[in-house]
Amino acid sequence: MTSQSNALNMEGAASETIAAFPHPSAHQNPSSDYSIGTAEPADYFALMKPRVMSLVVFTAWVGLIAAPVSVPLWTMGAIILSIAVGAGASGALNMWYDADIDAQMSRTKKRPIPRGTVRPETALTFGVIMSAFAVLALSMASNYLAAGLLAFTIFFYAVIYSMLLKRSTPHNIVIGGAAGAFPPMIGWAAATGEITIDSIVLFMIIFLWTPPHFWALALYKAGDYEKVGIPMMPNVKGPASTRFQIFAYALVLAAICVVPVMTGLGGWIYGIIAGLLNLGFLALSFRVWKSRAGEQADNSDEASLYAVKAGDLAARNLFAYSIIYLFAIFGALAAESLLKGIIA
Amino acid sequence: MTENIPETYEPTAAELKARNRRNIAIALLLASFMAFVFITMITRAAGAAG
Repeated sequence: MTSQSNALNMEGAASETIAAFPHPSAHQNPSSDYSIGTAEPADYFALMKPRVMSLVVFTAWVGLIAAPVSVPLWTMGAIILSIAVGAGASGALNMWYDADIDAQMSRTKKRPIPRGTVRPETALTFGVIMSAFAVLALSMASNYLAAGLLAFTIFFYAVIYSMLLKRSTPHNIVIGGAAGAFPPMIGWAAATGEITIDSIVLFMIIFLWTPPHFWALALYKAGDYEKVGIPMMPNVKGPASTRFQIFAYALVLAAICVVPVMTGLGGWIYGIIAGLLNLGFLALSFRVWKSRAGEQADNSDEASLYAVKAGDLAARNLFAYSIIYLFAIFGALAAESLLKGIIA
Repeated sequence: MTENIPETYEPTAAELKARNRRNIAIALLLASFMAFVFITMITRAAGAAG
């Protein structure tokens, strides 16, 4: 719990949080120390953050497809499965560590640990075992570089982001975003056995996409983060600074999206789609910058990611668009690579 | 202290049902992992030979 002592004004809040958070078993019955629990396999699947996992699976698959080395179908499936399990394992470790704050945030309070269906220590064990399985499986299916990158990604998300950054700096998701950016690089490394400029570009696209994506959400969910003392950018630097930074990141993201055309990773199909997508991203980011998103106090207890007050509409629109944007831009790269394969 | 601890704990029907499902899931996962290792090894060996 080192991060709690390092957090900005977090010590008091953290101890109150822990005191207020009953052990999950307390929700079950008085003799629950002996209970064998009522957790279903679906609860363990929920620990693996399936929505995040779907993005990881897709971007890792694009890394594999876009790489200049073809991979047999079974091996491709094995690699994707290993990366998916690794991503899920890191999600379980994150849920174990963040159980105290998850219990208080409207967006996360229905997760298995706050709900009392899975004990924190069980989630930790599950996360560690699945991490080991995932890294071992990837090393067998591909190579040690890819397996090492997966192990580092799990470590980065669980330790660097969850334990060290999340509760201590408003730049938490800027640096922590690297964890979400590694999957296409892992996919690429699994296919080729190396890290190249192209795989770094794939990494950079997700890395630069992450801050505007999360800050758009944080602008209209600021109250939720503030309640548990997470120093998100809108809470620390204010909504105006956050809105400007969103637009600045959108500009840099648009610039990095040109690089695949220059390196040959993306052709004209990617160029056109990426151009249009970035125009949309820039336009929505500009509207966020010029809006008053995040100015109203967020006192809602709304669990939905998309429910929003009128003033925050621009931020909600950017958040929703950013998800489509990432799928589409990676989808364009995959489509182009597949077409190249068919034509060749 | 010790007199408050029951010597045995009788799981409820819901707990037994959940445990049964967890056991089946673990068995399936382990069997899948064995199949995964086997097929991966065969695929890689075939690729290296071919």
